[in-house]
Amino acid sequence: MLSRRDLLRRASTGFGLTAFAGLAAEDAAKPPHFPPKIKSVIFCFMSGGVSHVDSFDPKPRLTRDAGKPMPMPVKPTMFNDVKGIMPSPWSFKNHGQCGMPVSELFPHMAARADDLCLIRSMTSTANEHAQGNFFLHTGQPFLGFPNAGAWINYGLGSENRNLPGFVVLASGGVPLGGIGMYGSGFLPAEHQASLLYPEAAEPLQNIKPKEADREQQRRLAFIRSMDQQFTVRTGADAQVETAIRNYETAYRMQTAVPELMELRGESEATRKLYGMDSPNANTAAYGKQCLLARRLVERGVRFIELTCLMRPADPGQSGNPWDQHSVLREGHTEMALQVDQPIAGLITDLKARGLFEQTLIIWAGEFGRTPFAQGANGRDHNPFGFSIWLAGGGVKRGFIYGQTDEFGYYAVENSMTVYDLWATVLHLLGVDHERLTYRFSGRDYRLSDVHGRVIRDLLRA
Amino acid sequence: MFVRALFSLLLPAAYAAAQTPELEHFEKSVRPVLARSCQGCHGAKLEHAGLRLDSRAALLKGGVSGPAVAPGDPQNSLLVQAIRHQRSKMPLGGSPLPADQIQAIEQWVKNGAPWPQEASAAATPKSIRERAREYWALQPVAKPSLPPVVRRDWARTPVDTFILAALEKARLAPAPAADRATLLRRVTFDLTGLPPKPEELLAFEKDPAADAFSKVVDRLLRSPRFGEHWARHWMDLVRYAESHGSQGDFDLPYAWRYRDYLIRALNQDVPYDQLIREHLAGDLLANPRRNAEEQINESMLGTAHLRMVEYGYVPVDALDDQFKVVDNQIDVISKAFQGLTVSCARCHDHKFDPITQKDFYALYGVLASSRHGQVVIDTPEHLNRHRDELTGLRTSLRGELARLWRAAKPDLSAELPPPPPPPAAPGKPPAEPSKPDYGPLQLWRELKNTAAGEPFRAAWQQAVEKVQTELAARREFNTKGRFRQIWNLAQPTDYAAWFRSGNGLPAQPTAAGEFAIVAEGDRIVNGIYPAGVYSHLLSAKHSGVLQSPRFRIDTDSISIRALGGNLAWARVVVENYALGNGGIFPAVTLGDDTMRWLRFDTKYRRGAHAYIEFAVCEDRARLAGNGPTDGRSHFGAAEVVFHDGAAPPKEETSAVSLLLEGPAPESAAQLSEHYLAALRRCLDAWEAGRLTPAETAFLDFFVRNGLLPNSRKLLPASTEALVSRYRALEAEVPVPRRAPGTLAGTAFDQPLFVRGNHMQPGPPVPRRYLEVLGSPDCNSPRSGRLELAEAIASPANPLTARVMVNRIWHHLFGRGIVRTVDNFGRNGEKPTHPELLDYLAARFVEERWSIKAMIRLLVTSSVYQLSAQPSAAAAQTDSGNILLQHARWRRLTAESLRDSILAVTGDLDAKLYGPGIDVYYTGKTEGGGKVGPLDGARRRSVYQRIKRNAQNPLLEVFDAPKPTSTRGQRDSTNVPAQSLALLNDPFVIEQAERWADRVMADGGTSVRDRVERMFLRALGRPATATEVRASLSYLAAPGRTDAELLAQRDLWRDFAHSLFNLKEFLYLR
Repeated sequence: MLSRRDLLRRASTGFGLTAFAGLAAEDAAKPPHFPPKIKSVIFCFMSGGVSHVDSFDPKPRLTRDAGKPMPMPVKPTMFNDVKGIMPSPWSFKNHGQCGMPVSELFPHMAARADDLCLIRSMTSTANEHAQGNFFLHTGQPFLGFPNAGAWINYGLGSENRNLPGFVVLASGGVPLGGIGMYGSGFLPAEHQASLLYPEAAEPLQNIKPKEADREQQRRLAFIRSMDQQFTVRTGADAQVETAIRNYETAYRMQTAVPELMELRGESEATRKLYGMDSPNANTAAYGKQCLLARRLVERGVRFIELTCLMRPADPGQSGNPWDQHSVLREGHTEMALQVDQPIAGLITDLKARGLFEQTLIIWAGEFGRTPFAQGANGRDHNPFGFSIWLAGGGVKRGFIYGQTDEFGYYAVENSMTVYDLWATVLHLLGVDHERLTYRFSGRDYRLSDVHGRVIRDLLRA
Repeated sequence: MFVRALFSLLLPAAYAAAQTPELEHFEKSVRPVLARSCQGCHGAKLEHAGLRLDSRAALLKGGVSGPAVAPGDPQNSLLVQAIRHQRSKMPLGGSPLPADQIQAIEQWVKNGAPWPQEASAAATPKSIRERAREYWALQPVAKPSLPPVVRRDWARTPVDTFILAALEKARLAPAPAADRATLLRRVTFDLTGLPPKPEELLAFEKDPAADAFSKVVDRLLRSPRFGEHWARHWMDLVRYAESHGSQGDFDLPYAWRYRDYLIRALNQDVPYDQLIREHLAGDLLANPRRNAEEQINESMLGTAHLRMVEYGYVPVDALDDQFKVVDNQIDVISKAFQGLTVSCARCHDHKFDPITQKDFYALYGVLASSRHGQVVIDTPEHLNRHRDELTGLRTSLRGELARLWRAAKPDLSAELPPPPPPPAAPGKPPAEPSKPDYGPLQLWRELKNTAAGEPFRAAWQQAVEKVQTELAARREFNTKGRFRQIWNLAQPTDYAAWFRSGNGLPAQPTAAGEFAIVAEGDRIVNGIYPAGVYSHLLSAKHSGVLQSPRFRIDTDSISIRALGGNLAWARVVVENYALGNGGIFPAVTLGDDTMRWLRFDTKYRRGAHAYIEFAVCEDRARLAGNGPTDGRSHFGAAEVVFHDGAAPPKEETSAVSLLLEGPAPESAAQLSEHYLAALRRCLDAWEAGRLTPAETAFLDFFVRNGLLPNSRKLLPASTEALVSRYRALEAEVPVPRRAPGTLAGTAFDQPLFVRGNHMQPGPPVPRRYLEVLGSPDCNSPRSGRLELAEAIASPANPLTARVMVNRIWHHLFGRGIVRTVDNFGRNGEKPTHPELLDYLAARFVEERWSIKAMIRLLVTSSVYQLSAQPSAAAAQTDSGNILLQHARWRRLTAESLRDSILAVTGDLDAKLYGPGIDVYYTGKTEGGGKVGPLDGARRRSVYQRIKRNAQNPLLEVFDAPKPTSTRGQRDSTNVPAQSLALLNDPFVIEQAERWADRVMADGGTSVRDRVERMFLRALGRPATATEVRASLSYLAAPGRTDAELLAQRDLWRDFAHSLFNLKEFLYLR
């Protein structure tokens, strides 16, 4: 069998495009463990923690027992400012054929209730933002472990060699804990997220050539001819040949990224659907992220994470804009306005284009919020039971899984962990979470650590 | 090794049992392979992936992926697929089995996988010691003799003999030596992380001496750049970072001093065993290393790496956070110095290595018994500048003041200013100014206009009753409040039970009557202090951390009696969480110079372990946002009480009570006399050194409010001179230099966490080092770190020297003799040249653990100097170049790449040491942070700041490690993002511009000449004729003369930029 190195040696044309056109496939998609249901994941991360008892998990007892102390043990809270039970400022109505109760906080998502696979029994082990963020994204509460997106790219490779396989749309703030959360941990760095800045002049770091294309091409040709002499003279190693090849990919990326970001071809109706015409600048910006997410899915990108924009009223919370320790009503209203229509629009558009079946949307924060008040009008963190939802290929629709107690404090039925979530997502991608391993530091690591099970109840037959 | 031995014992019996040709084939060609290459991981000792390969039943049962063999069907047998590398690539991490062995196994499966009848070996669990004896890395290091070799003219060093012997065994001849330019570039990068300068190349190429290369090596080892480069290697091992990550990403103050320490230590070639001692117990060494020039105790800096952990942000579960922190410390120490993954044993005994769960918790106790804090690194002589003279001046001044005050006639009716309001919290309106506090003079103000005689008597009686009622009420409150006094720091025995560090804190508590001389302005002293402990009696620049023994919180409140200023703090440190500063981690800023009761709410933390800490601002483990600029800060501490109520004790001492003694005054005039008499009594007591608490309070009131002369203007010239002299000397007292470190605390044994669950503590595990290394005792009352250091730094430790020489080898040859440099356990790889490894380890110890001597030995070997061109035979039979027939290609590290760009353009600032340079960010970062200059102040990369949550994007692209755990072997990824960085990153382009400016100012008489100079500078070799031709044609433009081209800046910028993008620039060969 010929090695790639041998092939390159035999390529009479040296190291031009032709030499490795046929080799590109080698680094591209890798086979899954079994036939996948989906190809891509869009993670709408609700940074700061959405209150489940105010959105997807109605609890009438909060109204009935308003102001009373919790009748069950209260766990230590972050701010140690535990007040009485606080009713939701929003009312709930049943929606869709499935009759899923959703609060008036999310009217657009409510209209898509029949597409949602709602999990009301999510749990986390971390009670603070950074640790909760790391835990949700990597399965460990600190820096140094691969993000789920990195694992998925490591396991499946990319379908598009000219775009990164793991993209974070970074209109919003960086979640608490820093961009290391989007990293590849101990996996090779090529699997880490690339941050795309939809609003920036240079949407991807170093993607914008600093000179005209013709000049760059001329210089690339010069560099290539020098490199070619060098490899011939020194019998260079395979890694040098790969490095030469990377320039070709890099060159193509310089075109692919602007083409991705160019939205002029999108119709007015599409823009409206995503709320990009909204007078609220945050809704428009989040809508743009949702639209770009669809375009990334169309281009075979595996994992896309969206970021919430900070509330102008509270710039101190750019990394955790859902985090209403006080003025819950105002804060959640503003945040819901930002994400509700765009995410519902994304579902509608994916369905209209036949992409919904090959895509999974995950809607989740790092934890929920307490049923009792913090201070006068806020809620503290609650990792013991909260709501997230999935929508797209392979999962049930108009379906509710698990439940919390009658106050919405603890998950009491079908309690689900972050490991279960990722085991299930990997399963949908055709990957066995127990077989997706990487040896580091003398141990085989997994996204699901030593835990996790595929929650088959969520899957469509 | 063991497996083979076991097998040879079984062999004859097995042969005897072989009855058919198929079984004979199995015994002869299959069982040995399974035993040697497979059963180490899939056998009695381990069942990796649930699979055993030591019986037919086990093979048929298989592991997590299913049955290992399908008898008769090799194609569909997982075992066959694995050894053919069609799936999981077995044996793991090693080279594939030889083709004949693979064929033998295929044939055996085809035969139906026959296996003779035999009783399965019921293996009894082996003891840890037995397992240690079986494992190569735990055998004592014995210096092997040199192997015989045929070729006599090649080996320059014993290293070469070992390498040559292995090559000859494989019938390979070493590649020829590299040319001088290649060699110089290789060794210059390897030793200093920078490219050679053109003049260095010329000198080397012209030097005909036999030891020309040796001279180059000596020059490089002497260069300060050596320490910078090798410090960065070391920083990878200890996950060097200057912040704590997680939410907030709080700074680790003065972390950079540890980086500078590494650079100095490596440049001075401090022996490796000494560095280990300093890293684990630098604060405890009997004879620390002093740096005369810097006047610091170098050894103190070693433990800083123990602080380079990631903390949770205000963790609700503080013990869980401690668990993570200590786990990370153990992970780093065991990997960095021992090549062991001890952290794997936190939940259960290690699955692969002879490390028990008890080992983990025995070490946990050692580490958690030390506290995280700032240490002062100055030598005592430096720190205690003017101490004696200041003490003398203070005594003289005290006498002068007593004289002056005796003669004074205080104005009892003076109007006092209101006390300054406390500083407003951010976003809150400033507090209303409070009313002046007239203290003991309140009585005077109420009575001074009362008519003498009966009205005065009545009023006096009434006033006295009011005072007495109030005092009685306070005493009753204090009785009812069930305040448990735990420590009275004015008592020598209580004070001795606490842990103190810093030159501000006295050996004995201070009696009432002490004072601090104000550093500037008109006031002389702030006041007269009650008995207690003070950090600033000579200078508020002196340092001070005072910590209680460890205790378990069992009350809802803890109250302290304390004072302080300039952002000193007091806090309850819960489960060693170092960053707590309020909220659910009780803390107060001490902003009031008068002793008061302050309460911590500890209800939330009941049941947790804690200690109380007082610290001056700069000694805080988490610095205040904007600390004082002159380094002055102070605290005083007196009492600690535990209680459950929501209010602290009330002050039982009252200055006014002094006035109640003696005959009752009958007029304002008599009362005035009363005051003066009381004051005289106070001054008598002060001079005699026996002030009561009430007298102290009384005297303090008069001094503090200027009712006794406390102004320089009022002093006689001779006394004023004392104050001036004092202040002049105090101004010269240095602000202590701080660094991250460890502080002594209560040593304790950590209960084992059952299955790694910290909510389920088991029995405490006595502090010691690993059982497999003889369980060295670490049960000292001082945490046991010193004993741990000795156990690791011992020449008898089988791992320490092996691991370190292997790391050096890795950096010089691109791959360790043990490839998994951080893991010498079973899950790591075996040494490719075990005898060479042992030879080097033994020699390392013999040569007094000298890192430079080891590097010198290795780079002056023949094998280091080989060309990177493989022979045809080597490319065939050893494509991985395990045998080192030729040199390995290596990509520059991120830091070397950035540094060599700066060096080539001439922009590099060679300045050593100092605070980290803020990083230039293009993208978003969490919390933003300061943005530094694009060129990183032209400093080497090792001086760029490392914030955990906002790492340098350019360095990250080229695999600068994330500071999370030991990373002895960096990734060397090869991705388009790197091409994009070199093409478009603004730093690279700016550097190309600067180089263009430099060559235009001073380089080259013609285009050709300039091209040749730039090549030489960028690549450390002259350009070839073809390269010159290609460059000239790239640079040429129709109709342009040479002179015009030479003056065209963008042309040279582009050419410079092109050179940075050459693969030869990026790779070492």
